[in-house]
Amino acid sequence: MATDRRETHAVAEEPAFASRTDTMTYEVASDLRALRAFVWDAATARGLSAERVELLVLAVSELATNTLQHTVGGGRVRLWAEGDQVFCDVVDQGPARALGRDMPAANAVRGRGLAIVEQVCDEVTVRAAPEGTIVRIRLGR
Amino acid sequence: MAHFEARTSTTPGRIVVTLTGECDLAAQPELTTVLSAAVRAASVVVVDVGGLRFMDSTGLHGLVTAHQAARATGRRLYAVNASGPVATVLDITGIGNLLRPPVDDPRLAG
Repeated sequence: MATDRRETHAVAEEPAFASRTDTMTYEVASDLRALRAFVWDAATARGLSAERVELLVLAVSELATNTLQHTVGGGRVRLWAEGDQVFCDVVDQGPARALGRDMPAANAVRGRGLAIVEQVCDEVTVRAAPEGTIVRIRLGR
Repeated sequence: MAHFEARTSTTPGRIVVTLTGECDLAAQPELTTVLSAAVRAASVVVVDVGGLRFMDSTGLHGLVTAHQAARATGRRLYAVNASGPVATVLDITGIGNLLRPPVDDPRLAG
């Protein structure tokens, strides 16, 4: 019964043409390296060019770092493709992130993580969901 | 191979810090320790990032913090040899320009 509910949920969450979704969880800073390798492999397998994969890896690493620095309980990353777009959800139990901030001055000490994410991705959205706060990023091939 | 390494090489008045591997949150304590010791010990610190495969905002935070500490005492910290994704993140944040060594600083010779 529980399994049925999860499957129904997954279908409702994703468009019918969505390809397979790969997922990885992270809990501590030493997980970040493996998380980047996961994103690298999953995005490359979906046809994203090496240059674009580098940007996606950077963005996911920034978001996961944000989770580890400011929330408890770690998080998880889902990656999938739709058409020529690659999507990544970074899900954690933190508050909704404020987007739209400018890149801090070069000599500012803090506050660049999310600005970097917004700079390198084609689209960044944040929403609250029952599973947590979802930051969804998109990069075109 | 280690996830991240920071090696220092000292000559009079100058320290070269050579970073290799991936410079992220897990590397931050070591990076902070090495860079803060370097800016206390020499008037010029050159951080060679050519061996880094990855750096994110936590690595940038370490570089900028050390840069500020150096400036506060009339010292200098530069980052050199960035390539690939490390050059990208230095470029989009403006920190590549901030930490670019001047071509005419004689303390960088040799």
